[in-house]
Amino acid sequence: MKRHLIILIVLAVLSLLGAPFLGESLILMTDPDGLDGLVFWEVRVPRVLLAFLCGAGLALGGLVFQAMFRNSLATPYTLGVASGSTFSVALWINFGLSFSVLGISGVSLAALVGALISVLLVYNLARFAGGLATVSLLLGGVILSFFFSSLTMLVQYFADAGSMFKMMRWTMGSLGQADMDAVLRVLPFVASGILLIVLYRRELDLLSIGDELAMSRGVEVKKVRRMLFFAVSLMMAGVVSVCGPIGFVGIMVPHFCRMLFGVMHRELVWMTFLLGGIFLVWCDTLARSVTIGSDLPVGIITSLIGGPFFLIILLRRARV
Amino acid sequence: MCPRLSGLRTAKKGEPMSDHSILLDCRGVCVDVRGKPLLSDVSFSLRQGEHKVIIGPNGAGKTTLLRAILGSQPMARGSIMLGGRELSSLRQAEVAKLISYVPQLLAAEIPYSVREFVAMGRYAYNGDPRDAAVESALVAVGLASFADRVVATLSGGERQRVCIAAALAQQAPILLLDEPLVHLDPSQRMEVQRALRELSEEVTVVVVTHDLDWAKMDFPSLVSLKAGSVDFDGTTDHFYGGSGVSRLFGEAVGAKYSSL
Repeated sequence: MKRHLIILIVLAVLSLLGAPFLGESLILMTDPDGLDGLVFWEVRVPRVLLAFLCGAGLALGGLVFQAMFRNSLATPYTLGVASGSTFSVALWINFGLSFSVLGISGVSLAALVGALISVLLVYNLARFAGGLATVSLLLGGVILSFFFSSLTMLVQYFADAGSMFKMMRWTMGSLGQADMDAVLRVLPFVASGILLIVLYRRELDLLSIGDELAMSRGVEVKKVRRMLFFAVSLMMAGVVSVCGPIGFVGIMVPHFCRMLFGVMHRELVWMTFLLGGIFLVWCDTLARSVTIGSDLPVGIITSLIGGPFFLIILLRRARV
Repeated sequence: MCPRLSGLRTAKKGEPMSDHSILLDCRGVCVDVRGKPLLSDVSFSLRQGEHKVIIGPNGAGKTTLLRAILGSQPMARGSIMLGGRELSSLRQAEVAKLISYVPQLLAAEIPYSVREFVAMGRYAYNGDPRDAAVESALVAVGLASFADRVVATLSGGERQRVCIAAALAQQAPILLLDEPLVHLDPSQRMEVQRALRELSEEVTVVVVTHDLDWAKMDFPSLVSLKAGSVDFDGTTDHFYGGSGVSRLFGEAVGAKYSSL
């Protein structure tokens, strides 16, 4: 297990160091003080850092939801938390509001409120409809997702052309807005979410075997659940407010990690964090490289890979 | 609604402390869910080393009582003393050190290895899978050689023993089991019954079951519940000797057990 962790750390460092050189054009840094240097430091380095942070946050969010809901298809994206957050931000953009509280931008706070509301909604919807570990949870998530997506479209419909284009691009999930400022906006959200999850990593194992059993082993189930919901909402808010909803990272990465590294969350938390970061860095590098002059929203790439993947897990589960 | 227990708590105050052999003391436990009483005025106690069975027809409140004892079901009135302390004043980890729980049948899809799963019983102690308590719990249920198997690949009887091992690893003086034989085939039932019988004398065991034969065979004391109230609390011999069974399950079942 230690060996796997070291390999992943090395891969993460190599990705972070290597990816900024790659893209639509290869930067060889022959002219570090000229245009090469500018593009490298001002555009590509922040973008790679942002991709890593977002990937790590999205993957960990998926891991936590899968353990808490005891369902390998549960992620903030499939359960409608991302779309709740997205709607909230779309509303924010449309009203053209801008203020900040204690240095935290209003758009991030809007995303957080949207994420928290949808977490509460989907949790209670599923509990009301007949249990967390059942299909009613996913159904509730899908319904919530559609509901919030429709609301987002409604906001877009009434928006003026300029902000509509902005919203369209943004709801596809893109890292195009990346600069150091964006990285610093996402960092506190993702970092505090990760910190909370690391604190509760042992409880994730116990929650994944059932609430009643976890409680009888000594876990303060309600409190832990609340903290973990909050942690995931924080991470989603950070990611969504800057990049829009990027799908399927939260389903694929934890799944691969469980396949490769086992099921104990004490270790999985670190593996998922690293692999999530690495995965999105390379998806985004691909997104930057395939088109000339503009970049493809990375959400399109993760969805193109993730959609079929989701289907495969679904079919395999249906057969069992 | 539940009858008021005026003065009962003050009158009994301190009493459980005086008798150190009483590990669990339920006094006038009432549970209402959406205005409907599920348990009314349930009282019974449990002494160190006692093996007690709780029986009753479906809907009598057996599971509700278990959940109240575990602290997952809020009570409307009454008190539950665990090791001389009020249950509601204990943190969940403190409860876990006093009472451990084996659910009906473990969900089939547990991906953890037997050792990892049993080690989760050490949560309240911050223990890890290499803990000595994990090893001795596995030995106690005869699963030492299964430590690295994945729980999901085991048979129902083996899974139930894994669950008992996890509860034993908790090293709590009281072991609580909810219908541990349900869904098991006859040989798996015997395997679990044997594992429970071979537990050390120090472990105090409470089992909820529908199995009247097993209750008669393995448990010296018995509590029966009927419509949310205690119908009988005493020795098993006395219960089967009298009209206990027919009061709960009707004359036909009663006749079968009185002729045995």
